[in-house]
Amino acid sequence: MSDPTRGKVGAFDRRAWSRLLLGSVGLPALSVLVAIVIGAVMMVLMGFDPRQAYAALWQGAFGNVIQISETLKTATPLLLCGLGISFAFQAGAFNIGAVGQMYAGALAAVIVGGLFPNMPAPLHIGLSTLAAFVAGGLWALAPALLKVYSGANEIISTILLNYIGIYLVDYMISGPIKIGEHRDAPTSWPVADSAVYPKLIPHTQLHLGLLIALAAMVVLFVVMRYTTLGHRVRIVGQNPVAARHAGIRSDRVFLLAFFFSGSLAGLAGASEILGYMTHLISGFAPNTGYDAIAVALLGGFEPFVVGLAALFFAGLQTGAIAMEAVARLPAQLVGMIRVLAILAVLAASSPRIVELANRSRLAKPELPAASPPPPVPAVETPEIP
Amino acid sequence: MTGAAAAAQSVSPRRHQPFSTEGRAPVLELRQVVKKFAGLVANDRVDLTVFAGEVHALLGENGAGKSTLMKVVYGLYQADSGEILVKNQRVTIRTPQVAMALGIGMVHQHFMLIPNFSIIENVVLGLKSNQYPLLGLRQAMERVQTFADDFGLNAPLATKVGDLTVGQQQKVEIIKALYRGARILILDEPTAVLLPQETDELFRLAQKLRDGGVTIIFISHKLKEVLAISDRITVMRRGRVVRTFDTARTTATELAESMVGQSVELTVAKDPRQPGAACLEVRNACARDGQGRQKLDGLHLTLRAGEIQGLAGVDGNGQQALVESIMGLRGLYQGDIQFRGLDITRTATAERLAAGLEHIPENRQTEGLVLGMSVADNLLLDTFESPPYAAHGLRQFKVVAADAQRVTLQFDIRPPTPEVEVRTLSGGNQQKVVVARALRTNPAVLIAMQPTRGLDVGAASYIHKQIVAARDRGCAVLIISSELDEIMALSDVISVIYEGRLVETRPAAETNLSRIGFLMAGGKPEEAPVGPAEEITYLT
Amino acid sequence: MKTLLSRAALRNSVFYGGLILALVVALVLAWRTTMVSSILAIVIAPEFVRAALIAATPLLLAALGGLISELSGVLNMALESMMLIGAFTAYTASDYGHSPWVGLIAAAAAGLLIGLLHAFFSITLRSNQIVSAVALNLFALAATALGFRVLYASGVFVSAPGFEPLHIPFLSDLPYLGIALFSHNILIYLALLLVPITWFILYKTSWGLTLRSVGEHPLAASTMGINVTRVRYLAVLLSGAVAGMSGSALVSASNINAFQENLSAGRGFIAFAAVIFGRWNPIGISFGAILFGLGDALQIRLQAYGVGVPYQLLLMLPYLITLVALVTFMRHAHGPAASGQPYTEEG
Repeated sequence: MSDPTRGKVGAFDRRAWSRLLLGSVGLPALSVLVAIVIGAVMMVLMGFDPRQAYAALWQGAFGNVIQISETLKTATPLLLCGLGISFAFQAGAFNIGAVGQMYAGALAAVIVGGLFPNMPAPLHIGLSTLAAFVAGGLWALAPALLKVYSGANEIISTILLNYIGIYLVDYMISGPIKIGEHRDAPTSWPVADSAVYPKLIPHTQLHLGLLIALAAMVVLFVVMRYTTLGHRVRIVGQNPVAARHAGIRSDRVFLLAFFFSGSLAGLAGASEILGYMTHLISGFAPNTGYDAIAVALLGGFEPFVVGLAALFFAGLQTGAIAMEAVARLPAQLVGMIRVLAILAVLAASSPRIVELANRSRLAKPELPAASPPPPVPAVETPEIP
Repeated sequence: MTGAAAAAQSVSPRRHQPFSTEGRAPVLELRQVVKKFAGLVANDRVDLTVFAGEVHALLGENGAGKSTLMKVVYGLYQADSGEILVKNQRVTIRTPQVAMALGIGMVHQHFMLIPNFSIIENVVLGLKSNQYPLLGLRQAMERVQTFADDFGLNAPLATKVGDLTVGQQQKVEIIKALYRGARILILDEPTAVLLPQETDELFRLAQKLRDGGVTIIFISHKLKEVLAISDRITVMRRGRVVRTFDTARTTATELAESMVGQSVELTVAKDPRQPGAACLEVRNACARDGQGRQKLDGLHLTLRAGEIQGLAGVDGNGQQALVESIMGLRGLYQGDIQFRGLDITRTATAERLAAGLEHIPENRQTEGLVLGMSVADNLLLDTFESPPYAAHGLRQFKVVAADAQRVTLQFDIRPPTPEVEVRTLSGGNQQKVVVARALRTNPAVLIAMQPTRGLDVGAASYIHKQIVAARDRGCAVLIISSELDEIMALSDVISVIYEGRLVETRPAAETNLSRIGFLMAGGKPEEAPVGPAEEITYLT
Repeated sequence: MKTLLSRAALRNSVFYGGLILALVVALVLAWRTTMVSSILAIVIAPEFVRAALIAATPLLLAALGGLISELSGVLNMALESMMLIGAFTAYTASDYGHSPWVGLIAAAAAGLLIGLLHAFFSITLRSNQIVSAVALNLFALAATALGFRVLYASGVFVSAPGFEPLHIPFLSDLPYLGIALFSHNILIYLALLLVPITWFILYKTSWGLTLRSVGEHPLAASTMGINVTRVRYLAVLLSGAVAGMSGSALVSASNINAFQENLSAGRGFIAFAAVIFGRWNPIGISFGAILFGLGDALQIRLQAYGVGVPYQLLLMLPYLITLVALVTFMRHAHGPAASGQPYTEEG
């Protein structure tokens, strides 16, 4: 999607920055607005009062410290996965496997976190998180390797691995790492106290994971904009063939992008388990990986805007519970609003709409007078392969 | 073009008679036709009259608007204003279907054939058969076979079009148009992909059609062909009609000047040089493609410093594989490549680039540039990670900007603002970016593949000068081109590639087009015609 | 041009399909030392073949729908959403309409609407076709969840009227084949019938030729007067209708004829894989659907008979089989040349 350094070589062009920010944020904001409006219409049709409902939504998401921390806690895995998906997208790869990668990361975190109960806390936390990082990365690397070396369609293989990952976790928590016989739902053994993330705000569930996510956001931003690695990734994403001709190893970049995309999702899994859940349960995050695709899309694949998008989605989620309690609205309606926002962004960012928007901004060329026209750039007739 | 010269002999002497328009009915008229694209006027108030039964040539350099104009006539584009008259009736041609119903057919520059479909399927595509909704191929076969026999297309109709030669494919395209009852046939740059012999055949076919009452509009940028085949010539430049000439009454020089608008040198200025030491040697190269097909079959090639070697050959005889293996984009399963005494057969592309091998890829948009990035970034596509453009993995934007400014001026890239997206540049300037990137490092070896394809005369001439200048600095140059005139004009030695091997290498002065054409088609060197080198007049 | 699957490919499919199945079963066996004979008994029993066909039908319908869309050049990964929405619509419509046929038609209509959305995004707006599919999948999940909540707030599974198994006078009473092949409901026979019908339409009619040309080389097709956009829209709409019907088959495949959240559980993607497996040919696709349906039926059977393998691993079976099939012989499979690329009409 948008290339942060497109149209400029230097990075400190103030007007371009503001244009970029407006462009990156304006579009998603507009889509969100559209979704909210359609949501209001649906509410009215179903016999509810939109103002009361949205007020409850807002209260539930951001009303007080506890609610805000809940929202931020929910936003953490969305942000991490969303960043991973954005990174892969910049490299021209589509990572739909965040669910499986997250599960793999959670599994690794709960295993390493559950073993070694006597390890000093910082070490234990670091080790468990690292394990999740690697597990998620490997879970993503597998389909990428299959693609590079056997041409297997990576979209299908990542999706299949999602389901395999879910069932693998189910198996593990009913078997090798289960906690005990007498539970209604299968649960894994608990994570040792030394591996649990410290809380950021007392008496809430907001944990270290948020800081990890924010750090990842900043790192990704810096890497993509200022480093040669980020530049290389973008070249491969836009034209892997030309990249090869220029000596870049496109295959390696592809594998790298998939790996890090998966490891960020793995971190998301770790942050859920080590942050507050402390047990791995069946079906702990069946949709986060897919929601994160929407978050990435809404955020235009730009790290900071993805952060805002994650916040928005999380707000909807936590607010929905309150909305149901207060305004008696089915929580699934909020799910619809979220999806409507996604569809709106998809439409607004499509090439056709962008084209129409650009065309209205360009003035029509005047027919030149009898004198020979000044040299104008010729439009290249499409070179048909 | 030998093909044209030969055709000139076999074509009836009518060519030398002025074409009289008295008593002839105009079959197609364009009045003040305008066609604009965003930011560009492709056709600027064009007036054109074509008479029944003539062969009318549309001559102009790349980008003059000839193809666009005919696409308007064929209904692929809609004119913004102006009138089109067919047989003195005003018509609005919204779709190709309407054009076909009016008897207008078009053979496109890039064939509009579906490689996976058979000949007969391609011909009947889009038509309702007698047995509609069934396909009814068997019924169509008879009629199509008649055409095929008429035109000498000797392949079974069930053959997949992708398996045919280029000349055969072109015949299928012509059959497609005639099967739909075309009486006005537009041929868009038909000889761009043909061997000299196939060009001969095409001209004879055109004659036959003309004798049968079909009007032919022949789009080309090649002077000699146009002089050989046409009755009248309309020259276009920058979207406008310059003048319509009577073929019998004009000359190459006059046409060239109309095309370009100024007096033009018809040759490439080149000092004779003594070739230096062997710089790059490819020995017994064998390579296969992804589907296991043999692409290089024991190929031997030597490039010498300070020498331009031209490689002639029909597309698909291994040129792509050769360039890829030299640049490290494809591996050899046998043979080796030596660069200045070092074996680079297994070296990675990036290292070869750093060592002094550079190339200009065949397709600038898909292989040479990242269209969405700036000119500056494209100039550094292979060097952005090295100092001074980067330090400790961080990009040094100010250095990049200053460097880009310098190179842009040095290579006359327009507009001289390297921060714009390379997508907005014209084809010629885009190619200059690719050339600049390749030449700025003063490489030891330059492989240029189709360096001036699709470019106007100004840009093409500039790039030729750059290539010759590189040679004069001691670079070993390999030029691969399907424009034989370009190869003849630029090269010091000329090789021919056929089925993955080099058939022959000779100094340019000792060979000629008919010999090259013969070898390109697979003829044996011993049997190739030998004759004096022709006078090379080369424009485009 | 291949009209029928070539002999070699046919042989390949059968051989490899059987090999994969055997391999997987062997793997499963390696977990525990269970009696081989009981596994064999399961696989050979006519009920198993019957179950396999029942499981294969939704995959087959969805895959055929996907095929039509793909051949026109529009990647259709939204099969999952069409299946899910089709299933939900089939369930509610047959419940309210007191007839499974109402459900079938409603499912087709619902699938068609999703197809319309996908077509609009992919063709008119030229969005990335994969992103469009993912968005539609999310939409289906949210919409069916909401709809289910609204219409069936109590959360109780009510069985809707379903398609009854047919009794064919002579054939249904045959010893083995009677149970295996001739006691299915009409939907399954319709689905199987659709295979040769699709083949015929694609390769023997001019519309089929037009459709395939648009997927191979839309520019060339347009120069022959074909309206690429209209053909693609029609193809995607049709594919939506057929894939929607697969949802109806899915509902009737569950014994209780009821819907639950995320009933499709990724089967739409398996159907997509079947299209590639079948090399974009209806006959090949039917083999793929049957193979993957076998996997589905196998895991249910193995669970029921208590083979001693944890049931979660068995649940993985269909996906594993698909994955292995994907890697072993869908390598570098090439679809229609213009697949997935938006088409711009110039001028």
